[in-house]
Amino acid sequence: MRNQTQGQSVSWFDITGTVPVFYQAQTALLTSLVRSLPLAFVAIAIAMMILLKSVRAGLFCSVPGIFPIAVVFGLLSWQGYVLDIGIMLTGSVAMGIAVDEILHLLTWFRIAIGKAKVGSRRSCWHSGIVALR
Amino acid sequence: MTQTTMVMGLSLLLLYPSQLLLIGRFGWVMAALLGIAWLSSVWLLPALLAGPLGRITEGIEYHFQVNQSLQRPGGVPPEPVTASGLRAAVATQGR
Repeated sequence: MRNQTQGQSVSWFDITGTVPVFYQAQTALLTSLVRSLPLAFVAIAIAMMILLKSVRAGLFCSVPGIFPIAVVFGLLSWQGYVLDIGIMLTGSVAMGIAVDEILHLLTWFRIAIGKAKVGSRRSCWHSGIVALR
Repeated sequence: MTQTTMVMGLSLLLLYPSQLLLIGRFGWVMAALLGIAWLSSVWLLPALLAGPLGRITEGIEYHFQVNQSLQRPGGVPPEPVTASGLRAAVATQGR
């Protein structure tokens, strides 16, 4: 880039300070978020498949794990919020917490479905009472 | 789940009036994500499991020891368990 300052030509210049550092950190965080969220979803789905011993059940039960991120990040981008470091950090944390709660409920659900020997609807009712606390 | 979500969400909302905009936004977005995560695990997942798609999960293997007191001998199908009986049976077997 060429710039005329005080009669002499400047062929290049560096932007210094905290702003480019912050910008680069934010860009790196955003790209790593985009790369790591699908990876985390795949890893969680594989873990669910191993736990439930069924590919379809594993995929089915990992859907509520991405629901909070889809809703909140979708609403944020709809309202025009710019993603910053604080918002980016929340994505993976929320995914972990959602999966934790799903595993709690699924454990109760499996206990109920094994004890009652009834269908999923009834087991859901029994496990829901315990898990709602 | 409800209690932990309430405690965590309310404590993260304390970050909202922070003077640093980054921290404040982190606080309320995290609280919103926790609320939606609670909704998805307490409402969405049971609704999915109880719906027609829940038949996928009915074949999942059961690893826990079935309490004999809940089953009638002689191959008779077990009587329907009540929620209190289920809670007591689960409490005796541990979590």
